[in-house]
Amino acid sequence: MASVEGCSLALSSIEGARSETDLAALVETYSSLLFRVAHSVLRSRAEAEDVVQDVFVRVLEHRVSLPAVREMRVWLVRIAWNLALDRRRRRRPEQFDEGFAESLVGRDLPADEALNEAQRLRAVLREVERLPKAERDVLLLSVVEELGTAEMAEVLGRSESAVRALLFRARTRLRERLEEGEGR
Amino acid sequence: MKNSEEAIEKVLAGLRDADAPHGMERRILDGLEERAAVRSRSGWRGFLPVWLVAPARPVAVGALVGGVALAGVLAVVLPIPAIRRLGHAPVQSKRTVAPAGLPALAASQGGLKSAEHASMRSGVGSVGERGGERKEKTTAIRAAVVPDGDAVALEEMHATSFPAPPMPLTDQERLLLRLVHKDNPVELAMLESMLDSKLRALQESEDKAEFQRFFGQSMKQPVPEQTVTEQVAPPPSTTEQVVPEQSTIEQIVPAPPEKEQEAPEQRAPEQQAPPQAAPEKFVPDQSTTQQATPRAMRTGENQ
Repeated sequence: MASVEGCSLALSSIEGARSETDLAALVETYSSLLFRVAHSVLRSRAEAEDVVQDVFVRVLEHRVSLPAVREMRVWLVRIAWNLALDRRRRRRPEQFDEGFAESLVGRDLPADEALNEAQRLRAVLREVERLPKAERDVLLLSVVEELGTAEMAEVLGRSESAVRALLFRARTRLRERLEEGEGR
Repeated sequence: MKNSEEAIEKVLAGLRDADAPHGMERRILDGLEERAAVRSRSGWRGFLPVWLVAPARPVAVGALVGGVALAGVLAVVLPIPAIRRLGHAPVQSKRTVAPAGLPALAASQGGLKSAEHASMRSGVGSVGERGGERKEKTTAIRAAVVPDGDAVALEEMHATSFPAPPMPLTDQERLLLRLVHKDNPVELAMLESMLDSKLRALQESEDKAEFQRFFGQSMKQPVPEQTVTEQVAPPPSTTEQVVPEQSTIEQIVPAPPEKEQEAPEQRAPEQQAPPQAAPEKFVPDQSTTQQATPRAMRTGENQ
């Protein structure tokens, strides 16, 4: 009996160690990808990091069902995407756009040009937010280079052709609106 | 055109090139370890043994599910016999009651039972025959169950009646009973004597005499009226012997004696008039007046 208990304890400890190892490996492998996914939606580094933390907390809660997950990357990206969208509903991303646009402006530019550049980038982000939801989602998810069209389609629950069409329409609409804004 | 495209590309590149903050992975892992430690300390799994939590968890869960399912099955199965007993009890009572009241119904039920027994005993027959028997049985059972209510009612109607037990008497009622029914031998002897006809006639005559004696004094006052009526009326017959008694009684009771005494003088000339002038006063004398008028007609006829 004691040998059985010792065996079970050893098994549990091994299992726990394996799960911890798996979790650490998952964090190392996918944290930067998940951060970019969340950052594309929220445009805030701190908020994106919180989203990544929440993603792995969910993974810890459902670690029993981890072996049943077929494509770990798509599964994690979908969790991060949904959590980021939830967070964006609570905290509007426009409040982070100003800081993000200023971070994109080159530091070697004169102050007046840097100001104009920052305004132009803010206008782009504003027009991105004004896009239809499906187009905006495809455009923001296409930012993540690691994701192909098939994975984007799986995350968004659409077909690959629909994703391609939406991406094309999103870029076209965004360009037209920006030109209209510049023409005024 | 070019500016907008450049701006779009710049924004998308900025989003694409966003690097994770330094040490993010370490912070995430630390946070996860903290959460796991808190959960293991405060969670319900911390109280369970390790063999139940990790490796043998499917076995434990299976045992729990099996136990719950078994308890549910027992909870459903155990009350069934009691429910069946409750459901059959009234039917049995009806069948036991019915034969006593209605022999025909009992015979039909007996036949039904015998048919059921026969069909059960035989056990041989085609499926179609059995189906037909079942149909007949169900129809017969329905037909027997429907008049069972009438049979019970008839049984209750023909049953011997049991009167309700007498109510206990109150103390006052007991005293009254003791007063009325003394069971005195003297009373019983008097009752026996009352039954004798001679003695009863004697008793009646004595009563009459006593009556006459008592009412004789009061009969003397209305004498004048009697004389007036008797002037017109024929001599009193045996029936009229009773009439004056009535008249005297009524004269005594309603009319004051002074007026009655004046009456003969005033009414003397009116005697020829019909008695309708004062019918209420002389109601008891109607027999005499009625007797007088036919006599006058007779005299006219004779004339």
